[in-house]
Order: sequence, then C-alpha cells, then structure tokens
Amino acid sequence: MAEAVIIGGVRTPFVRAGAELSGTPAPELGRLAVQELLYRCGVSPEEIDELIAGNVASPVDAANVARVIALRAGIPKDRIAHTVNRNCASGMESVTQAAARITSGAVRSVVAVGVDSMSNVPLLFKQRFGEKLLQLSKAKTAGQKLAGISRFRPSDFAPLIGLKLGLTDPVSDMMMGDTAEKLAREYAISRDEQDQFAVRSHEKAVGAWKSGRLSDETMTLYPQPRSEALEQDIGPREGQSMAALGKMKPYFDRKWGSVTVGNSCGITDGAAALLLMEAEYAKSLGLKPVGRIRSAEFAGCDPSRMGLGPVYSSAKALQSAGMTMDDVDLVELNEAFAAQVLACLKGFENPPEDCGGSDAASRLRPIDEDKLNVNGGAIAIGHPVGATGARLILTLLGELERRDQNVGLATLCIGGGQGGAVIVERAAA
Amino acid sequence: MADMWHLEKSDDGIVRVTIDRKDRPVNALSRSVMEELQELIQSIRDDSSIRGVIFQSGKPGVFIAGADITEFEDLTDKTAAEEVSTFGQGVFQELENLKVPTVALISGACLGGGLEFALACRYRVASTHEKTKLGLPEVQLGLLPGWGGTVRLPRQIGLIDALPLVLSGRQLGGFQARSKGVVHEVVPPEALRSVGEKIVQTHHEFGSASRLFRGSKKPGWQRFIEGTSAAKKFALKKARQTVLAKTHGHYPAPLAIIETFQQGLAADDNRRFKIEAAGIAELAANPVTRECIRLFFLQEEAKKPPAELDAKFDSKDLKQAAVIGAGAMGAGIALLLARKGVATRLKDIKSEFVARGVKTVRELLDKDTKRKKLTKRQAEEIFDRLSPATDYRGLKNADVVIEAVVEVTEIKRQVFAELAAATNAETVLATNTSSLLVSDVARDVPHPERVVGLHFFNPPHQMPLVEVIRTEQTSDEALAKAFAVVQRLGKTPVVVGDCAGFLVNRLLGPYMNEAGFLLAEVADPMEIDRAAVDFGMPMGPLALSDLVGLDVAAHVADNLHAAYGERMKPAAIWGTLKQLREKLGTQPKLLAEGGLSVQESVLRSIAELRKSSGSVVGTSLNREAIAQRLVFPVINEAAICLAEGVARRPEDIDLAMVFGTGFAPFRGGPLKYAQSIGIQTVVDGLQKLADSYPHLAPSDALLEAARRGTFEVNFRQNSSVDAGLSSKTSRAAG
Repeated sequence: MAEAVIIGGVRTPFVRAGAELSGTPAPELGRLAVQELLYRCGVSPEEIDELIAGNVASPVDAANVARVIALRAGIPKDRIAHTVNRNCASGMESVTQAAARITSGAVRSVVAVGVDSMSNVPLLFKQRFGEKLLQLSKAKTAGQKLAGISRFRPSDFAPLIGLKLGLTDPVSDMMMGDTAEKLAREYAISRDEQDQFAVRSHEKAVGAWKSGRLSDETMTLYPQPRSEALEQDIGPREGQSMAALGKMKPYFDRKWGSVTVGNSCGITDGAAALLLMEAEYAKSLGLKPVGRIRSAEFAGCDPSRMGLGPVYSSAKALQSAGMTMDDVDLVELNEAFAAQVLACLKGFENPPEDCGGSDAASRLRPIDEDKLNVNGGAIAIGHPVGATGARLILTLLGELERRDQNVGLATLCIGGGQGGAVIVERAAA
Repeated sequence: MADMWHLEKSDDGIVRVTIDRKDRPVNALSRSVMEELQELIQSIRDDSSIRGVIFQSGKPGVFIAGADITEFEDLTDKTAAEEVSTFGQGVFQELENLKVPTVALISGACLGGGLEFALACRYRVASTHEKTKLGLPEVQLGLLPGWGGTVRLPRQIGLIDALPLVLSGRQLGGFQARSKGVVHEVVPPEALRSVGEKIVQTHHEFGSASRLFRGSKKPGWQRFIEGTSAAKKFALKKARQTVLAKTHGHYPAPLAIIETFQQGLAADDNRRFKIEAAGIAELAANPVTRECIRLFFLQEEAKKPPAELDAKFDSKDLKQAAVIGAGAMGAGIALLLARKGVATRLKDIKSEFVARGVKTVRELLDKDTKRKKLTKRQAEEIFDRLSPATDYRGLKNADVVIEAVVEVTEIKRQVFAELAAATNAETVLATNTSSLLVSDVARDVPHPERVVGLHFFNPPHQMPLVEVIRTEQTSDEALAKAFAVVQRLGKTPVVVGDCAGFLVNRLLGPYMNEAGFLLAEVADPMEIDRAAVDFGMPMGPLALSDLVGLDVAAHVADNLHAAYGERMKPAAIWGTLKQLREKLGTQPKLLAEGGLSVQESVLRSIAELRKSSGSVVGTSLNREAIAQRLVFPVINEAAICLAEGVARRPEDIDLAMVFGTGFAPFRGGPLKYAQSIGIQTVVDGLQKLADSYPHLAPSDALLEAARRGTFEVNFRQNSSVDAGLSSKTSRAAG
C-alpha cells in the first residue's frame, strides 16, 4: 500500500465574520491558501492530481467550491476536485480523504483545503414567498398582477437567516449552543469554569502570536477592496478578563444558562490548506515531508450531546493506531464551547458507557493542561466551520516540530452528533 | 498564383469559399491574391446554379489581416499607387455587384483590406472569438483605406461613427462591431457556418435576411440628425481641429482622411472611389508614410529574437515569474506578466509595501474594467495569477525574476545574492535598473551568466519599449529567455550593451543637458519646448524633466557625467536649480501650472546664474537652431554607441528612440533623420557649435560615418541583419 505524507500547510488569518474578510468569499479564500501552499512547498500546480475541499456554508455561486478553488489556483483543467461536508469536521474530512486517496494508489498528490466564509452565508426567503413570486410572474392582465401583489404579507419579506439554520441541529431541534448548555448541566460545569477556560484560550493565543508561534503557519492576506495587509488572527484579545466575560448575558438560555458569546467560539471566515503526497513521489520531487497520519476515525454519538464527540472518536483513533493517550505528546481539541471542552476533559477521565467498547475506552486518559491547545483555540482564534479541522492538524504539526515531539491528536466535535480524531506523527522522527 | 481562395460547391447551390493562403501563415491580400479573387467572382457570376457564397477563413485567429504591405514598401510612385487602389476598388466592386447573396463569416483579425473585402459582401457575421478584431488601421502606416473603405464604411454605419474609426485605426471586437453596425450579427465561432447558410436561405425566402438581425440601437431621431450634412460638416471640422492639435500637422494621413470624407460629401459613389484613390496616391509618395511603414517593419523585425543567439526559448513556455519590489514599477511589471497568463509572485520586504503594490494592481485593473477593456471575470483571472509575498519562498520554479527595488547598488546586490539562493539554476535574474550597470549589480552573483537587464520605461503598461541589456557574461540562454519575456508581454525588445544609461537614457542625456544650457541663454525659455515640439517631439525637454522629476533627471545627468566625462558635463543651471530645491525644501517644477510658462522662481534662478557667470543674456535663437542644438548631440552620441557596439544596428537606435522617447516618428528616428539631412550637415553644425561649446565637438565615430556617408558600415553583423530585414515574411496590415 502506498504511504501518504504531509508536505506542508498554510492557513489564512481567521477573522470574525462581517469584518475584514467579508469581501473575500470562500472560493477566493481557498484560492489564496492553495496558491500560497504550493509556492511555499515549491510545488507547481502541474504536479497536483486532485483537490478536496471541506466546506459547510456552500457558496450559492460555487456548487462544487473545490473545483472553483483548484482552477483559480492554476491547477490544470484535467485534474479532479470535489467538496466534502461533514459539518464541523469538513476540513478534517478533506485531509483524511486525501490521505485515503493516496494510500489507495489512485493519485499521487492531493491538496486538502478547509474553507468557510461565514460572512457570506446567504439570507433566504421563505418558501411561500417564492411561490407567490412565481404566481406573480405568471400573471398576464393588470388585474391578475394586482391580485398577485396583494397576496404578499409583510412577514413574507422577513428573511430566514441561513447561518442560524445551519447552526441548528434539525434532528434534536437544538441550536449548537443548546447542546453545550445541556453538557454544562449534566457535567455540572459552572459559568466561572467556562469563563476561566475562555480567558486561558485568549492568553495562550495572544502569547503564541507574540512569540511568533502562529506566524509561520499563517499567510498574509491583502483583502479586497482595501488591499491592506492582514497578518494575524483578529480574535485573540489581549487582557481578556473574567470581569469582562462575566458581564455577558447567556446567549442560548437567557434565564438559567451559562454559555455566552464570550465563552464560545466566534462565527469566523478563514481557510487552511495542506499538501499530501505519496511518499516516494515526494522524494522524487526532492520534497521533505513534515509528518504523516497515523490513524483517523470518526464516531457517532447523541446529537444533543454532540460536544462529547472528541471522546468517542479519540478512543476509536487510539485503538486503530494501537496507542493510548500516554503515547500522545500534544492535543488540539477544538473549542466550540468552553462547556463542551470541559465536558470532554471529564469524558477523557471517565469515558461514557457507550464509548466504543472497553478496549477503545480503556485507551483514554485525563489530558494534561500543558498538552492541550497550547497555542489557544477556537474561542480566541475563531472557528470557520469547514476550515477548523485542517487548521488543527496544521497547528499541531507546527507545534510538534517546535517542541521536537512526535505524536499529536487533533480532534473536534461535529454538529449532528459525531466526533472526528486524527493522530499525526512527525516525519522521519 | 497565390492560391488563397478554395472553392467548394454543394448540392444546395451554396458555394463555400475557404480563405487560406497556402504560401503564408496569415491571409494577406497581395496583387496575385486579388487577381485570383477576380477570377473567382467571374466564375460565380457565370454559374447560374449558384444561390449564395459564404466566405470563411481556414486559418485560426485570422480572417484576412489586410493588404500585403510588403508590396507597398517600394510603392512611392503616385501613378502606381493610384493604380493599385483603383484595381482593388474594382475587384471589390465586382464582388459587391454579384446578384447572389455573399456572406463574410469573420473569425480572427479582419483588418484594413480584409475589412474592406468584408464590407463589399452583402452580409457580415463576426464570431465571439477573442482574436476577432475589425478595423481600418491604415492611418497608423500613414495611409488611408484605399479599397473602398472610405466609401463603404460611412455608407454602412454613417460618417459620424466611421470617421473616428478610420482616423484612429481602432480595432473592434465582435460585440463592439455589431453595436457599431459594422457587422450584422455576432455568434460563437462554431456556429458561423450554420448561421451563414441560414442567412442565404432566408435571403432567398424573403428577398433579404435582415429579419434575422436586430436593428440599430440608435434612436431614429439621432440617426436622422447624424445624417444631415450640417452634422457631418461639423464633425469633420472638429476632427480637423483635434488632429492638428495632436499632430502639429506633422502627419498628412489623418488630414488626408478628413479631406477625402469632406470631398466625398457631395459626390456620388463613383466619384468617391476616385477621390479615395487620389488620396492614397498623394500619401504613398509622402516621405512621412515611408517612415511609418519603415518603423512598422522595424518593430516587427525587432520582435524576433536575434539570429546570432545559440539558445532559443519559446515565450509560450514562460509559466512562472516573480517581481521583487512592489513599487509602481514592480507592481506594473507584475501586472503585465499576470495579464499575459504568467503566474507571478510579487515580493517586497514589508507587508505594507506589498499592500501598496496590490492596490496599484487593483486600481489599474478596475480602470480597465470600467473602460470595458476587460470583463470583470477577466480582471479576476488576472488578479488570481498574482501572489503577494514578503519572503523569498515560492521562487524555486520561477522562469524569470525581475528585480525592481530602489536604485542603490548595495541593496540590489544583496537582493541578487538572496535571489541566487532562492531560485533554481535556470532562473533568469533580471534587474530593472535604469541608472546602474547590470554587471555592477550582478557582481557577487555566483552565476553571473544568468543575469540580464530588463529596462522597462515608466509607466510600464503604456510604454511599448523594453531595453534588454546583455552584459559581458550574460549567456545566450539567459538572453533568449529575457527576450521571450518581452515578447510575451507584447512589448518591443531592443538588445543593448551594458553601459551607463544603456541606450535610450544615454542618448536622451545630451538632449536634456543642452536644454539646460539653452535655459541660461535664450530670451524666452519656452521657445526651447516649442522648438522641440515643432521638430516632432511629443513634448519639449522642459516639460519632460518635470514629468520625470528634476531630482531624477539630475541623478541621471550626474551618472552620465561620471561615465562619459566632459561631453556630458551637466549644465550649470541644474546645480542652481538644485540649490533652489534645497532652499525651498520642495520639488518645484520648471513649468508653471498649465505648462505655458516657466515658474517665477526658476526664472529668478536663471537671472542669478546669468549675472554670476556673465554669460550671454537673452540670445535670440530661432527654433530650427534650437532644435539642432538639442538633436545633433543625440546623433553624435548615437554614432559613438554604434561604434562601441552598445547598439547592434542603426535601426535599433531609431526604433528605441521612437518607442522609448517618442522621438519624431515621422522623421524615422535620430539616425534616419541624420541620413536624410546628410551626416555631414550634422558634423558641420556640431563643429560650428564647438567653437563656443567645446563639449559639442563631433566624435570620431560621427566623423567616420560622415566620411562614409552612412551609419550602416558600423554594423557588426552586417550580413545577418541584412538578411533579417529583407525577409519580411508574411507581414500584413493596412
């Protein structure tokens, strides 16, 4: 079986939706990341066989956003590209699929992208508005037209907010934040604990940027129309305090809840891209791999407790890798909500009963604070849904290299009740 | 027989003619091709079973590129020129007179005689192909459309719309041609044939195929007003004023075009054809036309790589490039590359500098989108090809890197050392320096053979010339690749030697410097600029130094002085003006707002200088004398350049000066001008001046050229150049 290796990666700065990147839609974000990736790796677009993009917000003008990104990045027309959607794990899905395509021998080089422009999630009109509009367009006489117009009601014009719909689980009918509230209640996680966690996330991210630990993985953008340089994530806030966070009202359960905008990840724009190649092919091009994927697993769980997904998927991934948490040097566990991460930590300590059988569950251990999200997480940096999975792997590889350590776990929870986990290993270690 | 019209008759009675000249890569209308067409028309007329004729090109990208202008090159005789015109008019008249419907299916270049042919067909359909261009560019060669173009185009689209097209030589794309009414319809290239057949069928069914096309977009009242003779006369009067203001009467062709339209106003078609033929006869004999045609050939010739190079590089193989330095120049060059489909990395040291470059690019693209030169989609594609960066990553696969950082030797050397490490062994490293020696910049590069100079002129998107500078060490491979870059950008390359100022700035140096001496001498300094413009320069030296900036001009002048010594010693006024700049702390211009007078402060400086040096105050020189004073030293320096081998041939110097500085094109460039007035005249003039101004003494090289009566013997590769110039293959226009 062919071996897949990771050659390199890069990401854009992550920016709160509606701000600097609002004029940079997903195909453009993806194009920028992929082009920069290829330049940095010293690989010309002609060497690329396939591009896989993880994306959730599905731009209306680019049904298969992967194909648009590939063509705009200069990858030849006769190559293939497809878009994958595993909700919050779409970026991770693109990487695991890329690796699988290479190990199967189908292709030799794949660009895996995770990208989302949550600024550009469209507003939708209600079904009945569309029906009435159709009726009106069929009207011929003035009378029919007048009748057509008179059928509209003011409420028809109120748009549906696509973003809100997307962040609601249609099966349990809960918003993502509601599932975090549920975990907070079940695991008795206090508001203070959540806010503490959020403050730490900001402190770590600010520290990482200050010491340049995140600058190497991040490219500079010159977003249109202003062309001004954007070098860093906008989210991490220096001096984020308990006092400031304490003032915020719970967003999802206004009366009894504890999950606020401040202890949750933001709605964000961004992209991350990784280049994967067949090991021998990389060697023939004179490229040095940075790492490889040791195992990758997704696991299902209760949609109303989707936040626990990392516990389930990590147990499974450790089992396939033949490892236990003791073998893992570093962990990137996505911070959708502080409550959700804290619940996961408890889950790693005491695995839930339905967690993948006794062998898998026995591989979990409590996670040391100093191994977890050492450069901050999505609460500070942001969570462009389709991009984060790829970002976690990228950040993890960079930090392993810096610490000269070998094994890392990247894991995240997935709206709809799943978890994703990837265990990476540094190359030639 | 040239063998261009290939006939195929089918059962439906439609004759399909494929236009495909077998002996040339493009379809051009030579005498024999026209005779062949005449026979074809005859045979169609004689065959009553024919119901229609469809013309379509067999060459991709070209319909008919125009008349075969290699045939006009020696056509200086009035009677002969008139005969060529009358003959062509006659053939096209026969085409127009055919009873069966004729359809021109136009995909690719349809220019000059090609469009005149199409206009004689009953129906014209253009394709959406990007190379589809329709126009009458004869004016650019100093001619007018001589095969019925001045008659049929106004008949088709009205004089008011036809006049600017003929005067500018502007080329229209398919959609533009339809909206102007030049063609009836525009369709995708692969639909041309079936649309052509449909037109013939509809024509037979209804007596005309006009029901297939949508009518003019212009409202009826506007068409009515534009049809009145008062409106036409007004338009002609306005056009004459504009032309005179722009050309100062140096170019006869636009005036002849206006005159032809004017005389045609009251005439019938028969008479109009005669007026047109008389017009072209007049122009063909005019020396200005000869110079325009010569420059056209020189330019075409210059676009071919020098024959003596051992290496070849196809400009189509240029895939990746990088530009170092995102200033106006760097960003401009990067945009040129991206426009031509080259993936380009644009690097500067700080992200704020890169941001400025990205902004420059964006603004230029937005401007072109607004002017409809680019669609939004095309602009995005170009923008996508540009990748901004602040480090040297991503240069490993670059075919060429062009450096455009500040003009400081140390900094450039450092950039080149870094580039040498960041690129692959085949990457050509080019510097866009204008004031340093390429070999100086390349001094520390481990493989100096891959270093060349690519000197773009400012602003790069407008200036057509690029100097390709070869150092002693530059390899043939590197030069071929650098040359291919310029070809790819659609610019005119001139290969020159590595000397201070290279060719163009070196020759411009004495011209600007003499303007400085004259400033202190002549009573009315504005006479200097007027003399230059009268001579045929696009602007005078004073306006030009304001345009490039006085400090830049002073810097160049110091450089040239250091390199060439006494003959380039800067005039004293430049020093005085420098003091003035320092005193004021600003960057004053020589000319006041509007450019009609010299600034007060400058006049005071001149007065001070005169007082202190006791020089002749307020001499009155006539404009001719001033022009000689400006131009003769240029010729002198050009002769030295030829002797030193800085330029390969006199034609290169003429071409470089015309395209690089706008040097009086109708005079054919400085050396052609010297030839035409006699080199000895230049020597005599300089010798006389040298009595008062020793630095103007004629050089040995010029004396030698005068003795031989030609600059030509200075040719280093005489024979290859001759061969190159006489093999004017396949060039067509007009």
